[in-house]
Amino acid sequence: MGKRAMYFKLLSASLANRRARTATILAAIIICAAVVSVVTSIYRDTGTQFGKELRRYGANMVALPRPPANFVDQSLADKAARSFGDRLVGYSPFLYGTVTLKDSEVVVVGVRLAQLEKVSPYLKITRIGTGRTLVGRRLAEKLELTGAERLSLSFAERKKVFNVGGIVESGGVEDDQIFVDLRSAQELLGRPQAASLAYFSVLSPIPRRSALISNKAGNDHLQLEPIGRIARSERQVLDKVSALIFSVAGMILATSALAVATTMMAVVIERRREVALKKALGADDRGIIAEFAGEGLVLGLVGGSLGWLLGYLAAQWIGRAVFQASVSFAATTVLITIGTSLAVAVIAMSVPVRLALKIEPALALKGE
Amino acid sequence: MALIKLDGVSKTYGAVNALDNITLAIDKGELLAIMGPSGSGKTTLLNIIGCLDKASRGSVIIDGADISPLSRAELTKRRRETIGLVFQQFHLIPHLTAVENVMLAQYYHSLPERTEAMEALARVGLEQRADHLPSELSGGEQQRTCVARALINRPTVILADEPTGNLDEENEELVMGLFEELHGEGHTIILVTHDQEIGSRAGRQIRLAHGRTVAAGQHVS
Repeated sequence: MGKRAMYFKLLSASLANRRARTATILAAIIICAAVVSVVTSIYRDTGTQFGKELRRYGANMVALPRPPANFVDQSLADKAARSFGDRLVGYSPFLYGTVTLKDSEVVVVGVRLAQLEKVSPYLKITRIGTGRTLVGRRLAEKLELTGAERLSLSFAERKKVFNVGGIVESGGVEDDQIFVDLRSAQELLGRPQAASLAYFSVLSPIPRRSALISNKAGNDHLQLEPIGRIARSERQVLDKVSALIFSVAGMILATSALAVATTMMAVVIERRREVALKKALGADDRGIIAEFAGEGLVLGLVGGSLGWLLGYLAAQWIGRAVFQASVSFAATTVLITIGTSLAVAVIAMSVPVRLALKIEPALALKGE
Repeated sequence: MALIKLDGVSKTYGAVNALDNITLAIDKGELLAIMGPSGSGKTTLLNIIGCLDKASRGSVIIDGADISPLSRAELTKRRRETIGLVFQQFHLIPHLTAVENVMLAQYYHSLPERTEAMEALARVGLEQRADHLPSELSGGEQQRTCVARALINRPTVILADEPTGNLDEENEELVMGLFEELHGEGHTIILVTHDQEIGSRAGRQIRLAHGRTVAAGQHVS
């Protein structure tokens, strides 16, 4: 039998012969690992779901023209949208203008109509026809719109006819506006490729500071910035949820570490004579540390693996019950869970190991 | 030249003098009995020779090297290399078999080698009981396993603290017979005992009382 084989013999015999203590430590590590597994899975996967839920608030980023310019170049706004990658939930440039309708002035808003509900999800849209144009509720009442009608809007010398397809309602200024396709608005207002501003609905993390997006020539810019009110609330909600989750997880981790440490203290006291004998036979501090650390690593590894599995199953259930979404498998979650379990086991072992190193063989073997 | 030499060795625990100015020389191949009543300091003396404890004053030379100034870690290394220990309460690890208990001493010394451990067990007449747990061995068998464990690393000296204290007469005779055989083979053995009859089987006895040497017997070759 080689040295390594003897080491593993001592390790396995020690764990197997203290089944109750081993089970207690293992249970503490499994609970700790399960909590880490649930928290990391939920935070990773359903964190995104939670972020999507928060997108009901509407756009959280806006692109504004950089003075002295009065308009945003549409290609620059597209470039800004692309910079968000997969985190972009919705985006549309908005072009505002005052036009004439039946001798009255009304505000027309050119938008990408397919994106309107994504950047302004608080708008209630009632379909009344096949046209694409949406009319604000108060304006529709004023115009006595009864169904799908055609509206003739004019600006300067230009005139365009729009087919009404729905009524839009927000309780705000939108109730007095007409929402038309962006390109048509640009043609009517004589502002090709231009927008007054652009709204973006973006998943967290939302940039905290504004950024400047420039064209290739460097002579045109737009200012991209978070919508303070929305972004702040979102950040606060997400930060509070994270803080809550992590503080609960931290408390459970600390409790598990304490349970492991106290059980190991009891094990060291129980094994006082065995440790003393090993010292008397010539075991040095390194040898004693290696035996206890080995036990810690085995328990951490086994407990971490079982805990991860338990946590993964629990996370699936939580994900479905709360967010109606399943949690995907992630290797990082396995690594974080097992790594944390090993760290908890080894840290919790440090105090009992110090106690073991202080054992005086002469006194312990005499039973003092 | 003496194998072990103690010069003016004292050991104090707070205000208590466990050993008081002990001077002693032990030759190679000697079987020495340290005798005395409970609390006379015999185990403390054995612990100091066995590198399990440090003297408060005086020098302890084993095989030409002064161990008095050594650190705890250095004493552990010296103990591992030069001392074989036999205890009154056997101190076998309950979840290891007899041969594994012997191999444990090899494990901390160098490399565990089952063949050698089996030879050591055969030397004490236990080769048939090698794969039994301590709970399956009699007291005498357990103590003989301890002797095999003490012998396995070929120590300079074997120290035995009341080795027959927990044995019946038959096993006492077996174990003492074993020590006498080992002595006959040239092993240096120091026995601590309060039993006059056991002590009388040693080549030399020294008697302690209140931490001092009160009588020293003659060398018997």
